[in-house]
Amino acid sequence: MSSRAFISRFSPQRTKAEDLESILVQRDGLIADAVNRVRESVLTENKHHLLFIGPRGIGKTHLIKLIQYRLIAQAEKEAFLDSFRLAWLHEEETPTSFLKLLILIYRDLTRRYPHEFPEALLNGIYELDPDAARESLGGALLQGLKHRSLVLLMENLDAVFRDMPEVEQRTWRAFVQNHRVIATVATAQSLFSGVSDRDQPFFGFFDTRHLDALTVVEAVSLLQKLAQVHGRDDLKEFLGTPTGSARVQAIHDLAGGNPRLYVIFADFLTLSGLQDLVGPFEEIVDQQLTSYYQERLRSLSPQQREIIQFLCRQSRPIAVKHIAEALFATQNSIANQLKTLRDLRVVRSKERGRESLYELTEPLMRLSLQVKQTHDHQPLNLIVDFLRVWYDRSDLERTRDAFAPESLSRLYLDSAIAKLDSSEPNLRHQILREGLEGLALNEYDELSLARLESLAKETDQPEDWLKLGCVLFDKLDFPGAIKACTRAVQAKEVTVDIVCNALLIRGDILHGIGDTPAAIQDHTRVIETPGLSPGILADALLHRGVECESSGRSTNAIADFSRAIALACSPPETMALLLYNRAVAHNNNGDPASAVDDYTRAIDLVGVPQDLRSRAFYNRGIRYGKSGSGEAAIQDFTRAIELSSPQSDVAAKALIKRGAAYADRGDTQAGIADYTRAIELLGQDHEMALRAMANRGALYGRVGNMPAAIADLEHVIGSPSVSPKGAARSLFNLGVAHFRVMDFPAALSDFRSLLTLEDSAAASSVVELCAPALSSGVTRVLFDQSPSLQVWSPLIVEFLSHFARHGILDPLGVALVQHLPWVGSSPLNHAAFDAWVDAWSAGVMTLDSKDQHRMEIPLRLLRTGISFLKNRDEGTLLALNVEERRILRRALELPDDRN
Amino acid sequence: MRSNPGGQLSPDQIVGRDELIERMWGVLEGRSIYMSDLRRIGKTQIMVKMHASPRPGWTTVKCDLGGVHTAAEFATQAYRMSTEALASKAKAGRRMEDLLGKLRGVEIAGFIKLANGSAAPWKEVLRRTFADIDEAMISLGAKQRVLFLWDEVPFLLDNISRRESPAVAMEVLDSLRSLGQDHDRIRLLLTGSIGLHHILRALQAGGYNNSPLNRMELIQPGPLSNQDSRDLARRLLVGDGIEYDDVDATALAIAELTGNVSFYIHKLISRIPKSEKATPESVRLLLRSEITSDNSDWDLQHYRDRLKPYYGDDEKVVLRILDAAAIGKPLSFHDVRRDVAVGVDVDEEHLRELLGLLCRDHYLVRNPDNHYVFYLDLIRHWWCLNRSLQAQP
Repeated sequence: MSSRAFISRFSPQRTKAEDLESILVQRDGLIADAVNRVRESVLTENKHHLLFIGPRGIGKTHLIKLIQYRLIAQAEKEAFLDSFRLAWLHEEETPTSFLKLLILIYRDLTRRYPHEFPEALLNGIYELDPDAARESLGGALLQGLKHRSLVLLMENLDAVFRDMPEVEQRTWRAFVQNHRVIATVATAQSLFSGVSDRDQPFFGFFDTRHLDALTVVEAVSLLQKLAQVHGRDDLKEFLGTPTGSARVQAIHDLAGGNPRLYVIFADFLTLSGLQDLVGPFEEIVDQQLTSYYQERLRSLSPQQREIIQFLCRQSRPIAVKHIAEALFATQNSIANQLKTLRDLRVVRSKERGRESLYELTEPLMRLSLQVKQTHDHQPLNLIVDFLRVWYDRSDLERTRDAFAPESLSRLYLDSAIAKLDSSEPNLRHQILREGLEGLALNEYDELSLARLESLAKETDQPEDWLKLGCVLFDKLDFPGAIKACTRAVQAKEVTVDIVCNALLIRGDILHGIGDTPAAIQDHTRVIETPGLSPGILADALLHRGVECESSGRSTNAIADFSRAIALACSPPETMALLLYNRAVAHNNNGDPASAVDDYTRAIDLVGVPQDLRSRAFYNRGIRYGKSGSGEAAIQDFTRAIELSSPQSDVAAKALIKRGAAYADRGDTQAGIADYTRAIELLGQDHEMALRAMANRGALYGRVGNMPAAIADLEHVIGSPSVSPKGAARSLFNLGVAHFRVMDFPAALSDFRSLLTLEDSAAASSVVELCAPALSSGVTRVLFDQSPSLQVWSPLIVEFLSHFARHGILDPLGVALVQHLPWVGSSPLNHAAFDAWVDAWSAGVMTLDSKDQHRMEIPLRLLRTGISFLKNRDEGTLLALNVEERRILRRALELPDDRN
Repeated sequence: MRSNPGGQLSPDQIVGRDELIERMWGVLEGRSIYMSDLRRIGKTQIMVKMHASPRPGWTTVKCDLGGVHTAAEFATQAYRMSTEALASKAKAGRRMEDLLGKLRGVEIAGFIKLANGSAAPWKEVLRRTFADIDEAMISLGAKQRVLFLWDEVPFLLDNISRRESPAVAMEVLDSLRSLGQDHDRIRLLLTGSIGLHHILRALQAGGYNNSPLNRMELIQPGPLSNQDSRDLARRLLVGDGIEYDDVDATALAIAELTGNVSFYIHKLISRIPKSEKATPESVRLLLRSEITSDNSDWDLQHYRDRLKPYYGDDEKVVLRILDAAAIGKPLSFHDVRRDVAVGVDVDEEHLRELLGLLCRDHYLVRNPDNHYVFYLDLIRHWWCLNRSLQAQP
């Protein structure tokens, strides 16, 4: 883009469309949509009537000019330029009848298309009476169009309607309806009754769109585009920085999102050009705006005018009570007048807490009225404000020297510097700070964070650094938060409270990122600060206690918590936290009784947050459970569930614990119900839900609901979130379940999976616990395979090696002997019996000598038992010694020897 | 097909109304029609569709009369447009030729002037025009007829009343009535943005006692059918290029929220931000923000504001009736009497009268169970918001 581009501040129609395109922000989609609708109007019988609404300076002419520009470009490209004719009625043209409207349209068409709309015809109609003239001109218009469409661009439609009687509007509407050749693109400063009042002819006729003020992001984009147009790459780059963004946020309050004001401000972004700018600018404002706003003021009541003039003098939104005070009026009367002014869209309100702050709807009104009020050539406040908000003092001073003392530019710069020197608060800081007022930590977005960062850097005030530290901490920017807190701590004039708060936060962060010694150091520094308020001291002790506890120094932690509790100054929430954390420390310190006492005290405190109370019940319930007080544990878990907030996981954890407690006391159905609720709360694949599901699966198995048990356990095993131990437990239970439904292949597979789990430690802990049942199950399942040496042998070899690896050959030996009655009652023949014994004998031979020895007795008992089963001669048992014989007789369910 | 709230639609983009239009052609076999309903319900669209596709044997002449200011202009309009419509079918009317020829009159932009420069007597122009049309239709065959589709008739009468006098407006009204009755080959389909009863009320205050509509069929088109409005919403969502997950659910929500009124469907869809995905919930929130915004151009406040001028001292009772109808289930007369009018000094007959007026003014309508419900669900929705009422599910 050439640096010679001309951007008119007040007359976008004088700016080239290409230049307007280059600085367009926010409205690209809106324009594209409008062009599509107009295009459809030109090419089909559908006719759209678009109305764009927005205050002065919002960019209506800019918009309409680009709609025209893009429409023509598209028409040239798609070869439909001859399908329409275009007329543009500018804002100063306000006809008072439909005939006069037709004249304006025809005149513009004559100017654009002289051969199609001859001027001579227009001259002829003045001899006719108005009705005949209207008919004649309407006919001529239609004739000139020759079935083409007319795209009518109209500015200030509200003014046209205001000046045109209703019967004339009816005539206009009838013409549009009867001939269906006109599409309209219009603008208005505000919504007006001519289109929004149900009793008016044009009610609902226009497709209205309100033009939004620019957001800060859009304003930055506009200023960047303007900088590019003006060849200011350095400015464009600056606008992209957080400081640049914060500056724009500061002037955003002055501009009220009004694009025209940004275009004006953009001119002032170059101080060297001030000389050529200020004088002509004042003149233009006076010529272009003041008469318009003066006229609007005249239509208001005296008190309403007073309010407006008062608001003009303010640079910020003002509360009703301040307006009332300034005007010596009651708040009620001012509130009533403000309501009317709001209905008239002259003022607008912004909510701050419970009060409403008022400001002018159109920032340009303030500018124009300031011009009128500046009789003695004082600088315009708005521009002075802009200069002192945008520039640093050094910029202003450096530039000032370049201008002659009596020059207008010098006057502006001096005014800005004088205001910076005055006792008035720094406007930029004030605006930046006010924009952040009332924002909760989680409400900070990128823009407000940039604003806060800029504020902290500029003011170097410890409270701004502290706030920044808090916000960055909330956003998990730990290095940034530590840096900001450090700046707060190191500030020169800083209060003890700010230092301590900054240290507390920094300590928290350091603890969070694992640097517990540094955290303890920060909190110790707070604790050792003389003259500290008890509240902050208790906070620091709490934090240090937690850090000591997490680093395994429970005794120190208990000391800190106890000291803080003894201060007896903390609010209930902090006191409860102290008690709760001390209980945890007691517990870890091997003193469960004191833990229960502290949990009980925390629970009994008045004003404790429910969530904390819920956790205390939960933890106490666990303690009760471990000490064998099952019923008390169930009661505590029940309270924990009742008090838990939906965001907390305590309810689910307590349900799982209570489910287990119910199961322990034999109330299986209640246990299943609790597990089911926990799963519903957590979602099926949550790690805790999987634990609940594994437990529920086991309970289903216990009550014989095997399909449900298998479904639960299979889900658990299939989940990627399951823990190794959970997987091991579930595999065992699943194997048992499959075994119980006689699905031996599945059971064998489950047991094999259990015994070969990658995490052998997790598997061993379960295998060890379940070794007897597992051995018995495996033996039974192996026997159920095809009865042949070829099948049994490799399986037995495999499982013997698994059992040997897990060190559970002893229970396997027992299971092998106890399994003999199954063998005896099976329909297999003696050859199969022999094969079973041979397979085991051969299998044992594959073990190392130590394990072979371990299996020696079980194998001898198996062999003897099988011999007995083949011949049913008790004498066979005499091959064994007395002790072995007794074991085998019991296994074979034979009465003991009488000898 | 794009949304186009308030604009002119080509006939092929006017969705629905086919059943109603079929019924109206049937009615027109026997009598003329006056179509009355709320503004923006789609009366003009019905005319456009009928004009675009007349039934065999019918010639249609359509005109918006809002721009006509005198009786002479109106008569000339009727003459000119019927002549244009019939130009290809029948020769010029004998009687009007006589009037223009013998009197060497000319038609000058807007109305016919006689040789002496005065306007041709408008009643004579109307009478001859209608008689000529009648004759032309007979010459074309037994079943040939002309239908005048005249929009904005109340504006016409008001314009004449202002420019000329209420008496002339009354004469125009009477002429329409008698011409409509006297010529079996001509039917009128009249309508307007504002209720004719408002104009009649003003004329009656000036001594007008006739009932110009009593030979006409009064038809209230009402909203679109559920299916048509859903279809319209769906086509507009697609045509406007709006993003959605479930177009049918979103279209259904729009149709329900807008009470199946085509204009409101166009309007709501035109306001859906292109950058966002439309869902049933998002359109519900959008409508809520639209109708409660300070910048709202839906003008639903009109339904609240006009109660005082329309109902005077009965405003309080009417408010109670409307509040009850807005929040709950359909109201039987018994419900109204028992729950709404309790503690209010209003007798039963007067209550019936008020309910009748609320129906005439398009607040309420009786459903097939003879219970009163809001005429448009959109207004009911706004009513609840405006009066902070909690609608029962």
